[in-house]
Amino acid sequence: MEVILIVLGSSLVAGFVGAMMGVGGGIVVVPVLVTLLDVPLRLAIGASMVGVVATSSAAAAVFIRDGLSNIRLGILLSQVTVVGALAGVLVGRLSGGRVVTGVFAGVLVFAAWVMMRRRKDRAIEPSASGELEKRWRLTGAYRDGATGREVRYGIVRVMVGLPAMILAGMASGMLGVGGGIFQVPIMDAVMYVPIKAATATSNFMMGITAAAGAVAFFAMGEIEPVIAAPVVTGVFFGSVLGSRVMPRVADTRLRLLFVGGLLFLAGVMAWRALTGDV
Amino acid sequence: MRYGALAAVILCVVGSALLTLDGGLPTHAQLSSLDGVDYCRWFETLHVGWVALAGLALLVVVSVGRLILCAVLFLGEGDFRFAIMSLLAVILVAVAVVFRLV
Repeated sequence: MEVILIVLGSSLVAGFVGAMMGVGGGIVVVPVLVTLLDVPLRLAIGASMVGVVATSSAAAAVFIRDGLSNIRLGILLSQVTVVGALAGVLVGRLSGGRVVTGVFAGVLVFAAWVMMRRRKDRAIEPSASGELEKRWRLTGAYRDGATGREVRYGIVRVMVGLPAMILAGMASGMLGVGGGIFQVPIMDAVMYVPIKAATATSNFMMGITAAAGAVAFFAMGEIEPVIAAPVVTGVFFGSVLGSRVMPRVADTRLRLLFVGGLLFLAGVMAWRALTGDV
Repeated sequence: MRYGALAAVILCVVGSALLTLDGGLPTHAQLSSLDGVDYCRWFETLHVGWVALAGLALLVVVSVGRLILCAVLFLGEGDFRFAIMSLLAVILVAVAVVFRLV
């Protein structure tokens, strides 16, 4: 009873905080399980992986209905992220807990930086898309909820963004995170996908990438249902709650507080990696 | 898709509750000593465990299912390139089963 309640409560908070910060639950739930509950890293990553699939599946349906997700782009990029995820699972398995914990600390610092960075929308007209992007009909359109206007956008340099997505896939497979903190900046900065479309497309991709990772972890027997089931429940409801509360309360001070929390977790993970306490 | 994910989460909630009622769960102090799971043996000790496991597995099935749905929709549009890509993604996810050997 005690264990399930603690895991459920921690995951709920992790999912809520992750959604509030816009970085997803995985990046918070793994360090919380490892540092606060002493759950073995492999099992924490396995549980988080299924949690990512849950949150992605629920949110993706809404994003697809609203036309925000660029399905063609998502499917194309998923080919690479899935391969990256499988490579990430293997690398994580072979490199051991200290390396994975150290990499996780680095990714947490990167996530803090991504959160603090002011994003510029670099959307371009569909006519300005590259030839390949036009031929493969990767350009998209969605109705912007804030302005009520239809946004049509073009895409460039997909062949540059494609190999870069391996990084996002590897992070997902190795660390049990969604990989959105890599996917969104790559789509934004390299392919000029508008932020809203990039976030929704990244969410769509996360479910596919994490599903591959989850199957691998299932196959290795590293998804412990006693931990994974409450994690899925907590992260799912925490994310739903967080995404509803976020537009009303997110301000600079709150963001700074969350960045402080991420850096604290990064410090704890780095300390564990250095001392071998994993 | 959304309902599939919701059904899976509900199975996880029910599974967690049943596991709690069934007892035999590790204590907080035992969490750090947990190792990988042999699902066959796990079933022998926790008979209600299949509900939680079914919820977790359903999540993956839902995720793969949307790729198959995409493939069907792309085929309907006559877009064979993206239909094949969708199915290729399904195959790549399925390939992860080889990690059983790792």
